[in-house]
Amino acid sequence: MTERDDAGSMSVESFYVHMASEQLQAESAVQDGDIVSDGSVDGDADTRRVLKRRCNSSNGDEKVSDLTLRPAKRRTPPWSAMVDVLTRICAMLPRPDLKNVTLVCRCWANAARPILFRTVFLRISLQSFERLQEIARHNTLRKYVRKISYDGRTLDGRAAREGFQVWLTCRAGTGLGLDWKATRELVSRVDVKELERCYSNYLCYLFGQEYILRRSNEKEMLVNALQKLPGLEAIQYVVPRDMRPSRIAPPLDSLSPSAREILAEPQDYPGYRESEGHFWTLLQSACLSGHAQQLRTVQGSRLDLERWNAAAAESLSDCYEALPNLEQLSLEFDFAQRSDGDAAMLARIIARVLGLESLRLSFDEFSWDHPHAVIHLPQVIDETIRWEYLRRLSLQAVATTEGCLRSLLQRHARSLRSLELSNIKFEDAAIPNQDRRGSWIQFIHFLRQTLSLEHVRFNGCFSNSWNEAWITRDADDERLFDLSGVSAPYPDDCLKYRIERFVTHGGVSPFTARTVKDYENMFPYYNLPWTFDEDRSWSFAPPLIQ
Amino acid sequence: MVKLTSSDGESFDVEKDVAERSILIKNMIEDVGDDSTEIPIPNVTANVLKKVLEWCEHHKGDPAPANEDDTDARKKSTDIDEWDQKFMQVDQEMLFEIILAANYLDIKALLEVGCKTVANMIKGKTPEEIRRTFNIQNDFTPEEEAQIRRENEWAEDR
Repeated sequence: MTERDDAGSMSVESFYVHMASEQLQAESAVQDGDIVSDGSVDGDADTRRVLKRRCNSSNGDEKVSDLTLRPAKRRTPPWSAMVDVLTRICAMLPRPDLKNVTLVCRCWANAARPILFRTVFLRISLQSFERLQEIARHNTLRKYVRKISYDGRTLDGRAAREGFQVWLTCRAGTGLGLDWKATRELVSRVDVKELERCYSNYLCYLFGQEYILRRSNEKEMLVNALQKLPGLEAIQYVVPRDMRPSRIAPPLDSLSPSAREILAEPQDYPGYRESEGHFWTLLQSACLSGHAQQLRTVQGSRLDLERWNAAAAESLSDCYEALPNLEQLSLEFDFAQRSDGDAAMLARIIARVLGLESLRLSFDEFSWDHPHAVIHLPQVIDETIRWEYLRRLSLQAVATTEGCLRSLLQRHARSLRSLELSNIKFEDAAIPNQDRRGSWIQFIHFLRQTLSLEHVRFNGCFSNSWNEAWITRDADDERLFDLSGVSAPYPDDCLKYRIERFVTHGGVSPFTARTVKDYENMFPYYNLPWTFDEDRSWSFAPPLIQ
Repeated sequence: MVKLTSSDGESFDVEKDVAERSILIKNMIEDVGDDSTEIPIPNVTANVLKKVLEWCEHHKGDPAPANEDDTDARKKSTDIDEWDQKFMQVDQEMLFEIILAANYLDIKALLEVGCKTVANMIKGKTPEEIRRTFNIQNDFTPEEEAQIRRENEWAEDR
């Protein structure tokens, strides 16, 4: 029933059904206790019943101590009656744990395997593409795949081609998130023979990478694999950001399998800007392999807007014009501020997607040098667009008039439940006067009065060109980047959380109208007609008013 | 007040907003249109229902639960609030009864806490340790197990 195409060997699912059928013949009576259908195993109903029953826990007397829970005393859980619950539990587990769960018993394997293979993580390496092919050839696993997550980082080949010694000095231990000293310490723990093996593997990896990137190999290999994945509905192109380097070298056996092979990890090189090509190749391949009608999610990150425009021109007709069922679109552009800001192509794509439920557009990282974006909201989202089902909107680094942003939100007031804003500047409206300059405080009151948001998040810089400039950050972000030495989370009653709670749940506004008496105590904010309790979670930053 | 009757016939008088943490009960109350009607809970025994109602009482003022389509990061989080951790310190039989009751009664937040508790019990354990923890019999043949291990290698961890 579920034999592999290539090797002809029996798959795990085939084993289940085969063995269950054998047991059916051997058993004359089937007790119905704890038997439920989960539909996850092919075969007739009787076969499924036996599978269920076989998956139940044993009634052995073995007791295992656990830190938080006492073991079952009277009877063990009816796992077969809890397939839905087991699936929920599996969805909460990290992948290494999920792999262990697949090896517990058949019932748990049936719950864990669809989640484990739901997302296929793909890299620009031949080994990674071969694994994708293996999954695509497997009659059961290929049906579980819903999403391809493509990591566009590559290995640097220049030093490795200079020979072992240069590789050892320049590339061994790189890409692992370590500072120079920790990198050298890690490398010093590896004996010469092992280093030579890693160097050889590194060269093989490079060879594979070059093969993939040559001519149209990447597209052909992707199309070949993706056309065998009937449930594919999401593509994601990611380039993970390098985190703050660690000063401590980790144990060698804690490295990923790939890193143990080549003693390095691919990196995102400032000079290497092929992300846009990979993004479009992935999207184009998904469309060419017959998934254009069923693609629901498209995500891309670390893209250069100018290059993205150029690469799009080559793939255009195959892709975005035929994505009628797209529900989630997330595109994050780096360097958009330094490009010419041409967002016409992006605007056309967005305008064509009618059933959008979630939209994220980001045009840069936060930058103190360029705190305000040059991408203007109406450039990317037409002022007449209305998506009937839009539930989530996330905008980062755009400039807009307050009226334009209000209008966009008002058009989606019926459906919108989640809003995330980051680094937004209110521009003066065409006819500047006091009312048209934009006010974040008034905008916050507008959000409360007009929308029914369940989630709101402000992060970064929010300003107008006159009297308001606010800096707010997630405490987690501050800790991550060690920006201000903040070590504790913000208190629950900090200004940021009070503002966000006010928008979602109402209550007393954190901003109240200023009286004459307040005027004396509010010198730095003399231009604001409001009083508020400023703290480090949400602070006034006059230099950003520009 | 709302009167609930467990599968073994015990009655519980409960404040309406506590009982309505259960979407199933909330819908039943709306359908019946009369708060004084006794509502049978046929799939939940008294000792489990008592425990579930204790949780509902503690969490009656909580904001609405997050949506199903929330972010992956939130779904993956297995952090549990301190009170809930203590609440879940019960034997495994009761833990799974609570989970099944939360599933049946449609109390998403309680179901999530129960699943997180089990997920935390699984984390970091080998397959054999998981089997021992939950008294599960290994019903794989060595060949099947080897095949799953081989296929698991195709699933990269990013």
